[in-house]
Amino acid sequence: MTTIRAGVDIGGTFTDLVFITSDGERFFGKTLTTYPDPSEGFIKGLDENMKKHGWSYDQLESIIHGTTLVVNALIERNGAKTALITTEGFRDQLEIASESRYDLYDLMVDNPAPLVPRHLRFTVPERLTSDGSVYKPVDEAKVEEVFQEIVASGVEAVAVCLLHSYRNAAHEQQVREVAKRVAPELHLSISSEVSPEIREYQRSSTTVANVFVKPLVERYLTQLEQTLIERGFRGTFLMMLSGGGTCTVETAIQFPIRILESGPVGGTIAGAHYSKQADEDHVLVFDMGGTTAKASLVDQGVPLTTTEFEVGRADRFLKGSGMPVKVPVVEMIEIGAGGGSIAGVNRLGLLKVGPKSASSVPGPASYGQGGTEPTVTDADLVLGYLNPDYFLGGDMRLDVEKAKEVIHEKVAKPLGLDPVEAAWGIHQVVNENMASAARIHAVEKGKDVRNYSLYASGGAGPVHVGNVANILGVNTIVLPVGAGVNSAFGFLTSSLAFDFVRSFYGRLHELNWAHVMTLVTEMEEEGKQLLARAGVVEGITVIRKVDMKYRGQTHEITVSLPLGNIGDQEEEIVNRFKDAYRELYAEANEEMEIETLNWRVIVQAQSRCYN
Amino acid sequence: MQNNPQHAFDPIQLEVIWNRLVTLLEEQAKTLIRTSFTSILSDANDLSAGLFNKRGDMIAQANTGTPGHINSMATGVRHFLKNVDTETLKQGDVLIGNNPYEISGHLLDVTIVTPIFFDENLIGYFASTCHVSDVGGRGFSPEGESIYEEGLHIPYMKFYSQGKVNETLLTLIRTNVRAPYQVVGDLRAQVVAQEVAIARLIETLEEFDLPDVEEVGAEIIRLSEEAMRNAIRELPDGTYENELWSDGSEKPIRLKCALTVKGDRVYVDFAGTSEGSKKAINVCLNYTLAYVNYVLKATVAPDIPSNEGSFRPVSISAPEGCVLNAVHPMPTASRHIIGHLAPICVLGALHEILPDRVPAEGAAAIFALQVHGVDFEGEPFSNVVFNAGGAGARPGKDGLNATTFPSGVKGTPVEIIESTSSVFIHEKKLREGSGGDGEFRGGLGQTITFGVRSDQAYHVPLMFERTQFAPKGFPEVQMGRKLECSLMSKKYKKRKSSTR
Repeated sequence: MTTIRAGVDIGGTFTDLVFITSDGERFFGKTLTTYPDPSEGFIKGLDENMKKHGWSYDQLESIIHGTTLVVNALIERNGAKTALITTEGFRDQLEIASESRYDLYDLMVDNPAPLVPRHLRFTVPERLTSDGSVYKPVDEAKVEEVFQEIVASGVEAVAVCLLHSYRNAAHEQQVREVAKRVAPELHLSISSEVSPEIREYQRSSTTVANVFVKPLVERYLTQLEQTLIERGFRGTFLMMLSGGGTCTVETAIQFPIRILESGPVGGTIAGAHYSKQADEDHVLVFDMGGTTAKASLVDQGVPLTTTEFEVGRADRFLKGSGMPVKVPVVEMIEIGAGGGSIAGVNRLGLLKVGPKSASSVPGPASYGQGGTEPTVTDADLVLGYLNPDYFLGGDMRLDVEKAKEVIHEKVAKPLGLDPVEAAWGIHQVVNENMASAARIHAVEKGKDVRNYSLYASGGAGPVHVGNVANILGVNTIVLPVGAGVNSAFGFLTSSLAFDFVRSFYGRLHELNWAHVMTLVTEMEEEGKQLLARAGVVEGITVIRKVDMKYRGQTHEITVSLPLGNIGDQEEEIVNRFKDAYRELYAEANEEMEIETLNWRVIVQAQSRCYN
Repeated sequence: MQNNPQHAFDPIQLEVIWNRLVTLLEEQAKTLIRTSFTSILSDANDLSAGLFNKRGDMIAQANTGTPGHINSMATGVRHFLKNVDTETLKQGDVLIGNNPYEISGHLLDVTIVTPIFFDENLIGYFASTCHVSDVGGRGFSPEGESIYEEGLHIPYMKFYSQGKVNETLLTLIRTNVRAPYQVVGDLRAQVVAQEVAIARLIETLEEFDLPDVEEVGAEIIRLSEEAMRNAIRELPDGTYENELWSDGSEKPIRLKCALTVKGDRVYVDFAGTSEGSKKAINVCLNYTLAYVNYVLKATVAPDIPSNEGSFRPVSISAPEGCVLNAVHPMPTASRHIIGHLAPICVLGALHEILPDRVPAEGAAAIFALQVHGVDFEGEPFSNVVFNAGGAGARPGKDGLNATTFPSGVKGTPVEIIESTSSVFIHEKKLREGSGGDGEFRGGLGQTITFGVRSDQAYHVPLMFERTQFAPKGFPEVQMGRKLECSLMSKKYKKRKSSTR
């Protein structure tokens, strides 16, 4: 029997489907995303394609799913009514945040409002010190009272984030035990499990975001899985992680914050797959859509990941204007440059493009839907990059004259240029903006972008990729087949993976290596067990990493570790740290002491390769 | 402003190159933040990064940083050039200095200036001003009565000669500061970040086939200056006055300003301001100017880039020796207390002509929690973290809770404070009702209770403001709450770690 693997990507406008059969055949499908319940479109798309190709649900070996559900729920703030429990004296850590303004010169700027309002922020008597020792034990009676109050206020979800729990999880676990006893119906997340990292504001924000969307994701996935089973599906249903791997539905329900970027990440994973197939060591995935452009780096087939991410940045994508989320995410820089970005002349007499967008309503002037501002799409049209008679496969006609008219009015006339020159200017400036974002992203990672080939993705990607490549000094561009459903294809090339982190702080030269080895082995065993439960026992890869820094620094870098007995390889570890440091910051320091913070393990199954 | 055909750059090319410059300065700032050895830079971002032409005019700056550093460095770098023979500068030279009267107002801010050579020609400078964790003496404290008590004054001099570090100076610094490991690590971070920026600038010049930054810099400055002048021209001519009171040290201090708009220029005179304090809360004129420039730009022209051009139409004066124009050897270490209030005084004057853009008074001065002493391990430490009160109510909306203004520094996470110092925070939360009443209220301040885990005596210099004069709203009857401070006795025991 032919078996089939399916990738399903639910985006804002379309739900994309890609099928690969055990005979190596590939099929694409597209259907409109449904609101308010996107799972309807998911099932409709599947049903349509199953029927079209004469397949039955029991032929489906696996379904890998990515969705913007989590990120949308956070941006639109339509998750569960959520409470936060913190250490006594620190009720407002979620609101005090970084005590600063993300834009120095805009006096009217507002910071994102916390997901948990003050009346739902509770504190409990307990305290750990910075080395993880107990300064004040948990007052369980008080914790019980707090939970009673929480239940009485009609809350559905609770985040627990106690000070220094990244070093010692015992107090948070104790609070959870109380909750199980007195309020078992509550959804609850503890920060030492969701994101065991130093900096209480970021950790609270992440934990709150996780539990805020948890009931929603649980309902959505449980129901979807049920529907699939009713239709005869017997395969594995996996979710795409923001960090690039896939996870089981069970994990996604526990840590929904980790499927935050599960849609957009597919493009990068597809780029990574291409990179491995074509033996390209360095690939820059360039994804340009209607309102934003994204760039991500892939080295040796592995996308760069980060744990610094913000959800819902304000209109100019300014750093600090969003809600911080510290979980592994494929590192993507996003800027407000897309087909809908609006061009204009500022008061210095310079041409500016974006970040304001005409969106899909009214859309670019050439759409003829009432748009009066010149956009990148209008410029592309005037320059002949777009065929007015074959936009969206001929489903929509574009109005060249209208495009010329608005460019003349809003850009060409004030700058003393003719409309074609002005259009070229718009095209160039938006390319420059994207190139400079890609370049700064690369330099932040210590990479030279000229060593990369550019892989185009997204609706507007192929139109701009050539000139962006010119600016960056890149000499190879890649235009994949099926660029429109690239993300869903990427899902099918990713592998099932579990990742773990344990904090163990210490100075490298006096570290208890036996303890490190115990931690690492524990994590590896746990990963292998989880993989076995998902039916994977062979071809397992283990990746070990550690966060390191010089003593006194507060920013660490993540360094990959050798396999085998770690304690015997201290010198190798030091060298790896210094190499990574040098690559990032030009030079390493020879005299200063090195410290270790978090030990990380990723256990992953083999990924699939498709030519 | 219309396109002028005689420009060397068309508007598109200029926009492209300008973006590149800001990008590489951001990279400089980011390198500094990630490689620094104190939370002052890594978490609080008390720093600045800028590119200067041969004459010391600032062409561009990183978006990261705080006005007290950005703007004071902008107008302070030219003092380096006056005091060092620029003709003899060589590739690999790096300049250093912390003159408190000419740059950012106290010895703790060290400015590092690196000359940029391209094709063997000196074409300009990269600079950064960073708050180091200690400079010896009384350190970050209002208690000094002259600069001679306040720590190490590094005159404008070479830190590196042709790539070789000045060992004598380094030894002097190491010997005189409380936290030599952190201080030297941070100075090195500044130097390295500027090397990274130079490499990036040279790539940019090569790509655009430019010999230097003269022409592009002149164009950037000219455009910014024109735009700033146009923005000022929209204000009604006239003189607008305001005054406010600060706690001061030995007695309350009056800040008084008269802001004159005349055509395309703004002139602020602080005549009538109290004379200098005996204690270290005196502000140098360059720091006063930095913050006046900042609030003017933020209210009148927030979208215009900050550089030499946007500074030119603004000038200030204050009687020599008054609290806003400190001269040698007046003490200055805690100059931010008054320095953050001076621009608030100017905003009050601007309120008369820009009522829909000017916020009411807020806490203003950041609460710098500085502690130095000896930790349980017997090692000396010196740490500072910043905390924000409430920002003033704004036209049509509330003020921001616990947010720095006019300063741009950030707070430091409690977990970072406790992991990198002996300070222990018992409580840090919003202070209910502290924003005052009214249709739009001021931001809430904070209640902070802290201690120090040490078995020896330690020093906590108190740098407070607003204990006597609460922030005023519009109309003036709406007041915020005053700051309160109390001492409690509490002993800390050395504890054995349970996790290792």
